Amino acid sequence: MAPDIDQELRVVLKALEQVISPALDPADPSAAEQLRLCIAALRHVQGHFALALHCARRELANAIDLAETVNAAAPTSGLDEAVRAAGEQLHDIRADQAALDVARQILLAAISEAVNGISEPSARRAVDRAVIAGSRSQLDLARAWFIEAGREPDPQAIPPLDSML
Amino acid sequence: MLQPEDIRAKPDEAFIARVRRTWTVEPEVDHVLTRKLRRRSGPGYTAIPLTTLIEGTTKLIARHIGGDFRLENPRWLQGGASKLQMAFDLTWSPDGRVERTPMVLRMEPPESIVETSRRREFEMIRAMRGIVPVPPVYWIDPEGEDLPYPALVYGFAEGIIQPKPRPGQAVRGAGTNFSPELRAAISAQFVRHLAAIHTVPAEHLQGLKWFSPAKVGSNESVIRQVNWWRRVWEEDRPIENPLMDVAYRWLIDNAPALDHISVVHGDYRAGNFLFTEHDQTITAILDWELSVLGDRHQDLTWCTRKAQSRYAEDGETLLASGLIPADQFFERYERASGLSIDPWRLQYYQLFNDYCSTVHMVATAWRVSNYGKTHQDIVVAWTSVGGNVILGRLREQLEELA
Repeated sequence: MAPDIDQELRVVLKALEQVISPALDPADPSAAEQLRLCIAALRHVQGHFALALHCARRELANAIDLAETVNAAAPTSGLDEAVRAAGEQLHDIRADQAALDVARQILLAAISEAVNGISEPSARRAVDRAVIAGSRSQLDLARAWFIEAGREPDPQAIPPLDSML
Repeated sequence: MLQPEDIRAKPDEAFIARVRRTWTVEPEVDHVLTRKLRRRSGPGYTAIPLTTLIEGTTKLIARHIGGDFRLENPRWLQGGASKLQMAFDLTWSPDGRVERTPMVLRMEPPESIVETSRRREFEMIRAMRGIVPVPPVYWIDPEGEDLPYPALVYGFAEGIIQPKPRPGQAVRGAGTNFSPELRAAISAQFVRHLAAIHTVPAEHLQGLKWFSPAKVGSNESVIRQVNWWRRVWEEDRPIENPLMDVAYRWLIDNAPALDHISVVHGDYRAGNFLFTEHDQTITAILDWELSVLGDRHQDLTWCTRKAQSRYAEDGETLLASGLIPADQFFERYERASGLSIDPWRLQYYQLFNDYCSTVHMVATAWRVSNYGKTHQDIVVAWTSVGGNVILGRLREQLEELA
């Protein structure tokens, strides 16, 4: 379809940068700051919108990995059914981003409930360690997704986004 | 993207009762958090004209001092990430003599990245008069009766937050870029003022009405604070995160008992004080909204954290808050305050602070910008992006400690 999303974003960005930005009142730093962030956000969308579905799928896969890690540390956590349901969504090629996000949300809620339901000290420690280790891949993904925001103290330490999708 | 039935979008009374019951917090904190939830499904922020603030401020002042005053020269005040601010001059007769006093109205938007009490902020700034430089506080509209939202009026303090740019002196890091000369003068005051805040005599704190007391030998006040942010996580988060459950449990299980009751500023760092360059003096310490009675190590870890640090011109010396290396800061602090610094508590509060920051950024910043609740949603939304960096650090600390 013409104009496509990429073209729409390109013309908007050009207008913001070349026309709107120079016309701003220099005495209004708040407007300048918000425009700068609008441009940064649009650039981020421009570079990532085509990857959004892949990312949602990876996020759900990360949540399933986390659930399995917790399940291995505490076999009585009762996460089998939640993992199975999430896996079905993950492998459904028709599942859109919203469906994948909802499946992930339901699974994470089940993991949290399981984690909070364990009180025996040694089982708790094992589950805590499983959560700490199993959370890394999702955090790496989220950090790589926004790496251009410039918030990382050591950007090289974050695996490249395309290696995780 | 969330399920349409996300309870946090339109919390019902059962949800509100559950969070209030589950996580006990100070009464005034409970009041503002509960108010936030009850107003959540209300409208987002729409641009407020200056005339509305002038009218509201005039009503507020008239309610306190009658009609014998003139509000002049009103203007928006830039800066202050989470609140709206209007500067103005008030011609009035506080002591029988007519004077013109520069003032600032500080008003909340419908929801902020941190939901806090104007009563507590007002009371703590007033309590700090004579202890450290703070602006005078005049009037408060704690429930937004005169103004669109809760607000307070305080005196305008001279000074700037950022030094003038230093061309050719770009240095790495996020903290403020002070020149070496300015660093020497400001860092000495920065340490001295923090020591003064942390050693306010106990009898000075007894009149505080909006703060719950803390007790030496007890970790109750620490747990209350952990619960404060755990409750906010429950109220605002976009999605469950089991790592936050683990962090919460660790903070509760390891909460250290207080060895000394301090006023904790809660956001003590460069960027939250004003200074004048001509005489290199800190003129006002601002942003007391997160202050509590608690453990000094909370402020000590906050103002020395890496995210607020900057390298000196040599590219190697990391300066806490852009001012002073952390080890020197601690050494001088111990001398100035007479209080010791406990490495274990530093570790605890580093994790505590990262937990709180994760709540602010991953949960609240997302929630309030998603519903358009602020005057700068784009700034708040972009702030939330940094939350995963903090959460990553939290995970690394837990890996070491849990």
